[in-house]
Amino acid sequence: MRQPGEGKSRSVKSKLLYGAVVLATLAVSLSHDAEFPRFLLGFEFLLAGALYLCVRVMAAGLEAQFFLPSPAKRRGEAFELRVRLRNSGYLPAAEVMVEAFCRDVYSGKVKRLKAPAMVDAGGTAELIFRLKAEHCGVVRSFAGDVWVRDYLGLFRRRCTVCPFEAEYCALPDWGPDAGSGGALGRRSGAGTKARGSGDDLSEIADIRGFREGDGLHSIHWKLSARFDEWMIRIPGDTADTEWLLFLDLYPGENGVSRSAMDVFYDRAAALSFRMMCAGVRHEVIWVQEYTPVCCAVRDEASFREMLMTLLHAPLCKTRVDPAMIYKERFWNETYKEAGRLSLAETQNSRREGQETA
Amino acid sequence: MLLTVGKELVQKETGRLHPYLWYAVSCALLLLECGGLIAAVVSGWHMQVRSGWIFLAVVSSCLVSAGFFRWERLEGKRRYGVFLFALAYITVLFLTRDTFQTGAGQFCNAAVSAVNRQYHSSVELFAVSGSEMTLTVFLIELTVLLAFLFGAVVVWRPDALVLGVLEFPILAVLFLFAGSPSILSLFALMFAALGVLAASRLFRRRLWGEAGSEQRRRNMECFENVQKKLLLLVTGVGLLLSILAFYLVRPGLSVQLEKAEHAASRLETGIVESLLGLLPQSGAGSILMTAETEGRGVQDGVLGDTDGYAVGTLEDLKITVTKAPEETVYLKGFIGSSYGNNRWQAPSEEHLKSAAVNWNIEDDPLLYVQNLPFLRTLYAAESSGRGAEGMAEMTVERLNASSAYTYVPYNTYLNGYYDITGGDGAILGQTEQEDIYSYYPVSECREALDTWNDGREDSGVLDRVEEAYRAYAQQWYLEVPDGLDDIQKLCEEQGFHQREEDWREEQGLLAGEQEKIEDFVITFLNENYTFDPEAEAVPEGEDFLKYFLEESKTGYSTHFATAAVILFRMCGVPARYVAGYAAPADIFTAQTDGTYTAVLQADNSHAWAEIYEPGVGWVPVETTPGALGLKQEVKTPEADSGKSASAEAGEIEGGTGENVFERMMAALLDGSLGSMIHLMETAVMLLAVSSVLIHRTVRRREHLGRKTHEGTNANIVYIFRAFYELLLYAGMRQEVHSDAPSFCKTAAELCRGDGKNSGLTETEVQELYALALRAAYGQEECGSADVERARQIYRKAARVVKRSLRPGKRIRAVCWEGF
Repeated sequence: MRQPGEGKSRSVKSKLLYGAVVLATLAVSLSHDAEFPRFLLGFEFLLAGALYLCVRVMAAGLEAQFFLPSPAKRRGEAFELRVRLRNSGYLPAAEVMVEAFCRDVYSGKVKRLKAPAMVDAGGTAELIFRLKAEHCGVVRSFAGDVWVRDYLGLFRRRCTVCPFEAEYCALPDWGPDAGSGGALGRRSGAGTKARGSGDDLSEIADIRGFREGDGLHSIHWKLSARFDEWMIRIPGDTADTEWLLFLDLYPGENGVSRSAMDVFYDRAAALSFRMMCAGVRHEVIWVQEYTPVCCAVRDEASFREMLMTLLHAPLCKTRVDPAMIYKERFWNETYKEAGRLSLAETQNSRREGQETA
Repeated sequence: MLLTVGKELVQKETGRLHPYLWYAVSCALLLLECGGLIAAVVSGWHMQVRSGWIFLAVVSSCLVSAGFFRWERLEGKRRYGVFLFALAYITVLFLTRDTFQTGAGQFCNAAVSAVNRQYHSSVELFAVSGSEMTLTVFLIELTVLLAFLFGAVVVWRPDALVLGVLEFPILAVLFLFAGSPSILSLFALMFAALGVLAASRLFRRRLWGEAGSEQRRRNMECFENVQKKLLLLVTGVGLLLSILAFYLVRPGLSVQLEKAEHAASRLETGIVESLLGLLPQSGAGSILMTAETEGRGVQDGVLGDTDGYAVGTLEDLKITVTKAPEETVYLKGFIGSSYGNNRWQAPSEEHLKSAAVNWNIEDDPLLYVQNLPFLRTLYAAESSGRGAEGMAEMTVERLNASSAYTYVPYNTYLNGYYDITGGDGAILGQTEQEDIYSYYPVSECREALDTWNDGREDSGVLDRVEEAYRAYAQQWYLEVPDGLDDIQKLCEEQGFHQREEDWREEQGLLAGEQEKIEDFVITFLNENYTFDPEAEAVPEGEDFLKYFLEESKTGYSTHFATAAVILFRMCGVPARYVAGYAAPADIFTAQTDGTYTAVLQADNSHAWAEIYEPGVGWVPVETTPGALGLKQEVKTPEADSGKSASAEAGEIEGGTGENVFERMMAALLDGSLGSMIHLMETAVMLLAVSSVLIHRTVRRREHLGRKTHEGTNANIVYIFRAFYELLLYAGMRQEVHSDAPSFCKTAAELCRGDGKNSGLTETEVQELYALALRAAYGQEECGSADVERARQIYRKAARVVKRSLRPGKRIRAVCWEGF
């Protein structure tokens, strides 16, 4: 991922500038038989050597560690890539240039992130890159080089970088979380007294601690109040029927735009999320390399897991008939088809919408 | 697909901030910058100011400026401060407008005077009549403004670029206007520039978070810490590198640069000549600008006025000879006969003409006398059957040399075309010179004539004229100025004051005596006087010769030649002062046509003494040590008997009244590069010793639990920590932790001591450990008796452990670790 030559430009500029100063001193030393210019020339030579040593010492004491605090967030939400710089040496690192790379798995485009930092001797600093994904998909992050420069910017040297490669998923937007509370209420059926979440423990299969990404509706308020920490309830299976949601990832003959894909993913996610909120046990099915992939959605965590698996799935090269899959795999009466979403149709409908507009 | 929303830098851990230390460092940097610049201007243009006032103004302005830009409370309100400062400054300027204007005039006059001094120009000065104080006030007002401006770019927002933009024009004007700043100011500026350059590289406020946020505060803290350490590092390393550069790199570089100087000077000449070619050269019109270099003040007999301005190394003369020279070729220009009023006067034409009436010369006597050495050598050579063997031809082409004289070699033949000024002096200059001379090299001439003088029986016409001219030289070229009694006495004491009859009868003896005189003069000058091409000008009202011989003792060729002529005369040898060009034999390069060419530059212009050698004529004597690479030609015979010239010179100086300390201080503070380096060495040594002492004191204070601002518990923990470090230093394995069951036993073994000294028992170690546990985890504060007991145990252990260490390790333990 390294792009040679780019990081060197500043160093070269500084070297050229310093070289010009040395040449000017040399010219003065040659034309004026005075002691000071000659001394200054000697000083400049020694200074360059000292700076080189300095940068070596600095690089030996500096360590960089990259990490991605949250692996998935909704599209449009800012996420962070952090670089922790620890300087265990005696010299303060005044100029540390940190590089990182993010590659969009779908398009293959690479974004280069670069920022300077400073770390005191024996200190630790964290450089935070705040990023936002425009489209749904998977972004792979890599650690770039971390260079430390000397105090005049003449030399640079690579520091120790802990190996790092992580994935970030830009999830689709499934609508507001708050709306799910209403859905839960309706789930109990008409005529039933609406209860607050967590009132009826018989609905709950399990209780667990809060994890990042859990919706508000999943919080068990009473237990949370009792234990003084967020508790999440995992709803139990209340229905015998398993609903199926078919996703057709064939983009059509003309391909599909990223925004159309976003719309497709948004719709699928919204549908699944609503079903989950309504307590409807369902599975989301799509075909990946001629093999159907089923993701059961039971709760928030499995919902997220399903979305991440979906985003990792490549688009199909051929059209798939969901009826066939249904017939082959889900003939049992337990399963019922909840709906079908097609990527190609989403693209067409968007195109039609644009034309109408 | 990805958008960058923002970047931030968060400091998790950073060193402790010491605001006062940081303030001190900022002030020091600002002082170096501001003080260095003011000192450069004041010393560069030799301004007569009250240095104490200026110094006070610089220090106070820098302190206030650093405080203003450093004070956190003024964050966001500084614009009002700047407005108030501007208002106050303008008010002060208005109130002191007359003083300011006069001071500004004096300031400009100082610059113009420097230009006039350096370039021998006569630019008119401003008509201002101010005192030392008015210039001081002007400079103080300037200093305040500079301190404020520099405060912004050095302390508030370090920016090397803005600093360069502010500083460079001032320095450029200073150097262009012939300023010669002191070495101290140049060092100050160098260190300040390095410091600001280093500090400005880490100033990136964009990443530091919102103003007023905790993140910004932490980043500022880190920035100040890093900058503080950087500046301390720059100072320390800078001092060390300066010393190394002076002693290790500079001498080697000088050798290499001297090798490259020739090529560089040619390049420089080429550039200057091309530039001069661009100058208007319209003779018919009103503009006629050409370059005519005159060399370093040796164009005529005027002395004391430092140096004619030489345009770099512009080519002055081109010489082509038919035979490769084996000695330095001297080309005579001006010839001085009598010294007075800081100048040499040309010889008198009238005296020579009236003397020549009795010499029975049919031709022009002036030319005849000039041609005597050549004609006699030719005659002698032909008589000995050598013919024109030793004769050579020389073409002298004037390029940019002064047109006042025609430059001729010694022992040459001049025809009627040449006009001799002053009868016995220089040949008058021509509009263009490209003359071909037949001449005998000095050694050739001397050899031929010595043989001729020894072997002849009868005197010919030429010999008779030479004898007559010798008497004339004895009469007119022995005059010495008054007021040099000590030197005169010294010469008389040498005992080679010749009697007049020696000149006529004892020529062999005289020749030997003359060599001794030459040796004496050269040795005396070489041992007691220093050659310096940039020697300072003679102060107004001082006599050039007396000032050189008795005060400055430093000079270049004119000083040495003048002194040599007078010394020769004092010893009884007729001598004259000559200014012209000297071409060392090694600068001649062989050409394809068999000739040898040398291009003489302004640096080859030279002054020397010529003495009259009986039977030979005028011969040049090189008395300037180190000039034009001719040092090897200056004979420096060791005084083989009697008192040496230097010792005698010491006697002349007699009791200057300076003691060793005064001399040492004077040498340290003479403002030269060497003295600066000596100061730096002292500073580095002091820094090294003081840092070792401070480190040791701090460590020892910690080891003995004497941190007064901390409680007794903390102090006991410190003592225990020191005890543990001591054990590690003594060789205990890192794996043995203090809570390990074997710790007390291991510690007791290490501190057991030998037979003579009782060491630590295991019980004592356990006692210390228990105290440490109580201090670290106990609910109650331990008493001072507990601290004392812990200290006692630690001391006992330290004593035993130190004795068991090897000498090197023991020294480190005592001097550095503070155990």
